[in-house]
Amino acid sequence: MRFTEQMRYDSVTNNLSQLSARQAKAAHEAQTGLRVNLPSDDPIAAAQLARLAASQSQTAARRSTINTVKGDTELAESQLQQASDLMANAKEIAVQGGNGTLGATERATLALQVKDLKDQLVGLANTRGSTGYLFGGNATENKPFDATGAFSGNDNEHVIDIGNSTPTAVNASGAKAFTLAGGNDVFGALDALYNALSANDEAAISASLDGLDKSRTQITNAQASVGITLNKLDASDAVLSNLDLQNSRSIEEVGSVDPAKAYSTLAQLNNSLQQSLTVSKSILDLAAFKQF
Amino acid sequence: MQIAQATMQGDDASDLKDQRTAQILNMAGLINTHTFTDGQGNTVVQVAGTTIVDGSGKAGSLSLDLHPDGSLKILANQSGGGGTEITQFLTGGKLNGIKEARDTDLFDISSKLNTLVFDVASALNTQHAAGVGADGGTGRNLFDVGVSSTNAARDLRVSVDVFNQPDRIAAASNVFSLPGGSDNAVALSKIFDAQVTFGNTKTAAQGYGDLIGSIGSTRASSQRDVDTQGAILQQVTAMHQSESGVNLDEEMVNLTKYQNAYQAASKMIGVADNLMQTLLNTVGR
Repeated sequence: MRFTEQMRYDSVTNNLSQLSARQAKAAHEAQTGLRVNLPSDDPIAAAQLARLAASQSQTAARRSTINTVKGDTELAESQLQQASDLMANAKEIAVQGGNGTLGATERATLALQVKDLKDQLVGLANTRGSTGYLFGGNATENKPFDATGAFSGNDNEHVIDIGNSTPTAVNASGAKAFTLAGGNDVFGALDALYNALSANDEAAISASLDGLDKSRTQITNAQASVGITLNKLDASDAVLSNLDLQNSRSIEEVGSVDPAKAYSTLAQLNNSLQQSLTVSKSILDLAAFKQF
Repeated sequence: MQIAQATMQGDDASDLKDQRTAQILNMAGLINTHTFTDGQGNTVVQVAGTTIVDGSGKAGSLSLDLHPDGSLKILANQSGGGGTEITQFLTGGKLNGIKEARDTDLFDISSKLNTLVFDVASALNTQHAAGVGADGGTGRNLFDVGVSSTNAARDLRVSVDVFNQPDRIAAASNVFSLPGGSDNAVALSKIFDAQVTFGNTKTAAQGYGDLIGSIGSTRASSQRDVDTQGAILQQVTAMHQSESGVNLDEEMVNLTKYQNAYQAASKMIGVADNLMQTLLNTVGR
């Protein structure tokens, strides 16, 4: 077989271009730190990366949802704490008012305090969070309680998807905390105390104590259930953050290069390319004509 | 024609023949080409079974068109005759590669992507239509994707029913839970984990991953084909070159050989001349 100048030239350019393609790929890997830049680099890894990225964005969306609702839930918990304190105050007033030595005037003053407490409680029950009224169920746009304490909201839940199979309710139920839906009408209990104090009716005052106690327990229970929700949110967030970390790790494992290896490969290829160029130059030098 | 004329006039048409061969080589790279010499010694060129240069030297042309369904249509136009469709007779060359990539591989990928987008958007639409927006309206789609998967990925956009109108996002599952209800939003988010693509066997992310994987392996395998074919081409080119090309060393040797032969011959002539002179001188005396 005759080895022509054209073949010599072709094979030199061919090998050089193959080498420089490999060098470019190695440089790209070293630069980006990514082993899979195109799906064809490793089809299976690319498919895996697409799924991991989807899972990661879902996790991020769930975590951001949790963080959004967490503020409102924390607010609800502290408002219920205050409401429970208010009820404790009301009970103190009732005990004080039940004292047989008190006259009608003193009881009227106490009645005014109770009225004040009720106004405060209505204010607490009408707290607005970042997404509307906290204690109105789904009716987040209108005040759930009017000045008399009448409830116009509902007992529906705010649900979010935090990764487990069933959606989680995150709101505090105003209906269960303050109204008959929870067993006791809190505002009714305060009204009973107010009326008994105003009427200077000692027996009715002591009778109102039971309602006040039950109301306070009811609010405390509601607060506890919000606390549980908060715990659940924190736990889910921790699980999700773990998942996120794992996903990131998998992505790195599947799609990244070992930097040390990438750089040594690159250096090696750079070197070979350099030497190949020198060798090619002398091959392509028209040696046969040198004798002239 | 020129070649025939030149040959008739007794001139050497090798240059023209070389040009013709180079042209035919170029053409063979484009499309499956067949040539033969007819009874008069003229070269006839056929592409994909249709004669495009006949013995009289009249050349036709190739032209491109589209089928109604958008696939490529390749026509061979004979000079003075109508065009013949040769799309289905393509077996090799650049044109066939382009046709295969465009109408088979890329079409396959884009239709898979369209189906994926259509399935996901439809699943979201169905769930969204079941819910109620903050304005109390129901039965609205979240995306406009058309009635079939054709061009779904290209045409996908947020439905005009809800575009720029966030109170029309159906987050609630019924009118009684307005405006704070979020059941339907949760149901929408659950579609992420629902098997809605590839005939309800895979989730959206799995389906997309599979698509990426299949594109990747298609490309990787065509890359391997390119490498293999490249090696074969190199081999064939080398064989072709081995017959038609020149090796400078060999030419050098030949040059030196002929030069020496020439010198030897001229020396011979010199000697013969000398001999003749001597002979003449001797005889003339």
